Amino acid sequence: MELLRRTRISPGALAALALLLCGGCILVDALRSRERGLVFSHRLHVLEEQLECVSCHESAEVEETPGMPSPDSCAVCHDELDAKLPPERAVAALFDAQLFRGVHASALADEVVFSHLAHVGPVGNCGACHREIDANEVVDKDVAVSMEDCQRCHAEKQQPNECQSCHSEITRAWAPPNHARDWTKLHGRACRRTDPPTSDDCALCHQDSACEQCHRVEAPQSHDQNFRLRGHALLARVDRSSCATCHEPALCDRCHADVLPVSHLASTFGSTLNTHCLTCHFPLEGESCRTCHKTNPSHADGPPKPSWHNSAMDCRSCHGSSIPLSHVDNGSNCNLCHP
Amino acid sequence: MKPWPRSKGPRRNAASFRRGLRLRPAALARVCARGLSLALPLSALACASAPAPTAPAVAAETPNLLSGQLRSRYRGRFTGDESDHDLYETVDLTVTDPDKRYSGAVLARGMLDLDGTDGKFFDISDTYDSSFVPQLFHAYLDVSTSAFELLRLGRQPLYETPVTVVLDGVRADLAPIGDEHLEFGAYAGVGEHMYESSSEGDSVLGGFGATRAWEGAELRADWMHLADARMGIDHEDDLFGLALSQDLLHEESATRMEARFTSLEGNGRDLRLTGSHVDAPGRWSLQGSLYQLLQTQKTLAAPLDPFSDTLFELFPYAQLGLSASKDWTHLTLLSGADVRRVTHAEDEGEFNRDFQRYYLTSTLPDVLPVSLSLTGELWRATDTNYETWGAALQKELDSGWNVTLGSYYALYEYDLFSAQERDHVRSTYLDLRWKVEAARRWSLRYQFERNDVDDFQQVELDYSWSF
Repeated sequence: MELLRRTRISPGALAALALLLCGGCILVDALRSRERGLVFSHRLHVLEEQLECVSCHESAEVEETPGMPSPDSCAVCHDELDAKLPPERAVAALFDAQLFRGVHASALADEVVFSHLAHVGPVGNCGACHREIDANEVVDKDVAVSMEDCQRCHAEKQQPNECQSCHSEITRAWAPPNHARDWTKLHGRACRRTDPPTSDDCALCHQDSACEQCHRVEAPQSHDQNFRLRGHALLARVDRSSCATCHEPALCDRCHADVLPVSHLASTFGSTLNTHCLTCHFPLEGESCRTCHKTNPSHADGPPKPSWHNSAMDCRSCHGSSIPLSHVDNGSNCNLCHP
Repeated sequence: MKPWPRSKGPRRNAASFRRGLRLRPAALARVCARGLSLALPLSALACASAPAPTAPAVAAETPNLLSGQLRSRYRGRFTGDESDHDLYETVDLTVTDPDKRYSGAVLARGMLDLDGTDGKFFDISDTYDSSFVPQLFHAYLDVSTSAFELLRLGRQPLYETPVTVVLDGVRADLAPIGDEHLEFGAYAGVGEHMYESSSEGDSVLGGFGATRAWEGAELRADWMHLADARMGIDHEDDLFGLALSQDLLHEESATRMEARFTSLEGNGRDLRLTGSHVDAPGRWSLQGSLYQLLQTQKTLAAPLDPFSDTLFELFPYAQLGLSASKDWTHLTLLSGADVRRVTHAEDEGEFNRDFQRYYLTSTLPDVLPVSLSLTGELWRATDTNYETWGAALQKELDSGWNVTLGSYYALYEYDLFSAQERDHVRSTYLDLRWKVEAARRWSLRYQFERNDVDDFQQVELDYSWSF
């Protein structure tokens, strides 16, 4: 068969370019320095200075919101401590007017329903939720209480762990923003994470059957009418392993017991006046006759030889070139079927 | 280079397009009668639970006993003077005992041929004697006991085994033992093969042992005995598998490496090495895999058989795969390549081919007023090429509507008869999805496909109710 050649841009070069583009951007992104948190040492204040949490977070045990320290709270100690420090190292640099600049690090989304006051009493210990805050040196996202910690504690204390316990908008039927960005094509990479954070865990909203509804029940977009009629055969002979992802051999057997493959319907294939079946189906090893025949073929029903033929004749001297044999195989002994 | 001959498809015009969508009165009556008899009860059930006025969120005290999804779909296909109408009902249920003594799941689908015709639309469902074809994908009950980590009864898929199997039987995994988390399990039952006429002679039996001796690692050994009677021939095969995986978890990234080896009847069957890295802060991921088929695969029990009845034996080959993805604020890229080489050059033939495959998906969610996605896929194999290119525009509206307009082109180039055949497929589709409320969705899809056989039109109307 003639090999196919293309004179356009090599697909390999195109793919290499795409991979380089991805890889280059990944490298640049990795080398770029990440945003640093606010330099404030809880360790210094808690472990070394032995300050209580409420010394700075004065409203933590009396108000709904936990309450960040105010400039006045810090000034109690730092007015004297910061007297000889440059402005950028003074405690005032941690504030924008009255607002602590690191407040966003642990802020909850607006749709989260959370009462700090309701938790302070039952939990009793700040460190139970704010894990390892006493060793923290930088106010960054690590100071935030994770959803895993919330769920773990709720489970331990047999408190509700449903979405509605903490979320006013998010439910199992709510789709995260990334589900809108061509999610059908892109979700595979998200599923490969073996230990995702709770907020990225598919199991939070989906049962295993959600995967199966698409991957076992629904056909891919590529399975269009042309694919059903002809395309699947062309791709199956290139990469049958892709088919095996979803299908078993019985699918082919069942369909083709009723429908001949399209390739077998052309005049050069499948009809009785050709031997081309043996181009593929030779030697016959393990393949059942039922690949083509629905019922047991009766090899005894061949028409009798013409009266002027006899059993000693060499059938192939005529029925090998100019007069093709009217049978799909060469026939080792015509006399077996043609008396 | 000799140009490919232009394909000579049937002449098409606006009249043939309109004729393709016309329903004859008798066929229309049949479609309506069958459709109503099945769709009405479900529709009544869904409509009876009319959307309630918006109420403040109330914390649920216990999970629902029964949850899941019911989905109804009508599919109409049209070409020339032929049409085909089918109805699908999918049931996806999960049962959870509030006291956690048991849980269960059912996933099933029923297909109803509304008009009883096939013609150009002949497919697998038309090979059954009845116009109604049920499919049960899984139906199992998990019983909670102290001795077992998992005790599952019923029709269930096994995905952790060296080959995926579905069996009607029992699976029992013991609770982990010791600090090394030793795990043992076994399963037995009748092998379920969706499209076989009879399960006589089909069985699955096996067991596994696993340990997590150090952090992030798992070493697992499997044995599977598969028996399958197919096309008058009995197959029995024993498969052994050994797998080692290592997870390296960082604060917000994860690396996983896995090696899996299987042996069939005492001879090495295949070897697979995979590695992946996901970086959440950087929003990128990499994955690589290397697969080597070590021995020729011929007629085997169904889960192992390489479609040998149709495609004959599968000769040893090696396949390398790489993929990478990266998210930016206004762009997402996913690209990859697979390369396969038959191990022995003399084995390359009609159904055992070398190939290269390349694919690329890009999404621009907000550069335009609509989200734009572009996809491309190229296959280059010995004597066969396949490529497909597509684009889709998607817009999500505040009223709960989601509209997608897309188009794709596929080209098959192969030599089978005249040494230079090519099939063109051009398809355009429109998807309308309406989220009535969080639990109810309607979707309507229209697709027009032009290929070298004919023009085809397809309409799908889908309703799903989650509860």
